[in-house]
Amino acid sequence: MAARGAGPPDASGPDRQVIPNGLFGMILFVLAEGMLFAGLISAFEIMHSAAIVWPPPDQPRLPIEATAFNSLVLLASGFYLHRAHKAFHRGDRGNMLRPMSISLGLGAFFVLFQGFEWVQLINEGLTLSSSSLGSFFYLMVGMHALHAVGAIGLLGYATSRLRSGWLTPGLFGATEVLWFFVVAVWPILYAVVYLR
Amino acid sequence: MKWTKRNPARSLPTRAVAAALVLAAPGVAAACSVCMTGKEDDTRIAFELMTAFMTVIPFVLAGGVFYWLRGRLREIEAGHERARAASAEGIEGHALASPNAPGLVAVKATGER
Repeated sequence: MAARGAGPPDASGPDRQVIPNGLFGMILFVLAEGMLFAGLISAFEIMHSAAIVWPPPDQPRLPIEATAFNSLVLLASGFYLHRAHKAFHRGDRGNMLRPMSISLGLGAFFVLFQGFEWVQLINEGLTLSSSSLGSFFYLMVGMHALHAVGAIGLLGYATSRLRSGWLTPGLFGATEVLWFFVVAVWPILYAVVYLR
Repeated sequence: MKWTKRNPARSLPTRAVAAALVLAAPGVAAACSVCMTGKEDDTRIAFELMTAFMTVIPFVLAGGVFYWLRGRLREIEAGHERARAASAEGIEGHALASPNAPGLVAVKATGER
């Protein structure tokens, strides 16, 4: 994103970047995805308000404790990416690889753990068509998992670019925005879907 | 009607058990996922709250991004101002140190870049 104005004497021209284009594009994408999740939460709340008994009595209970642990794993992943962010802005790229790799590993663990949880719930009878809880659970948590998988792919790509010494601020910023979005949305989904 | 013998179905324990079952049953009886009778108010309130939520959230998100971008722009402007000031000071200092240097004297004299 560029802004017009008088630059410093040695600026390359009247236009200069406020933020990299890749980062700005990712911010716009995340805004749109934020509205998607807001819509899903809104629909869930209205459906929940209309239900006399919640959760449906013939459905398995959601694993609140195990998912709370998994949520902490995801938050830890965000914390390590923040450490990489600080190292990046200090210009200390040598100390970025470790926190980024840990963040990637914790993110992958989160998604795998979610998959394991899904398999258990499906075996216990919670499916997309078993109840309104099942429908919304798989839709909302599945949508989040889809974003998490995409963000892990981007984080892996950014890590590989860091290893080869070609990590640009635009790519790193876009990766950060997407991953922090995934990390920030999850506690809200957890509170809305699981803690009911 | 004259009772010759007490009906066991109307005894107090039977009635107590029946009452207990009636009190316990609604949770199961109302488990139908499409039964919404008596929940109209809750649903209406939920609709209103979620309408407000969906109205406000785009402004919050876009406003947050706008606020952050404005801060970032100001930060960059401040950085450029500092760089410009430092550059001007450096040129002046250099010009004073070597007054015969061509070009730099003119910069000092006119104050222009």
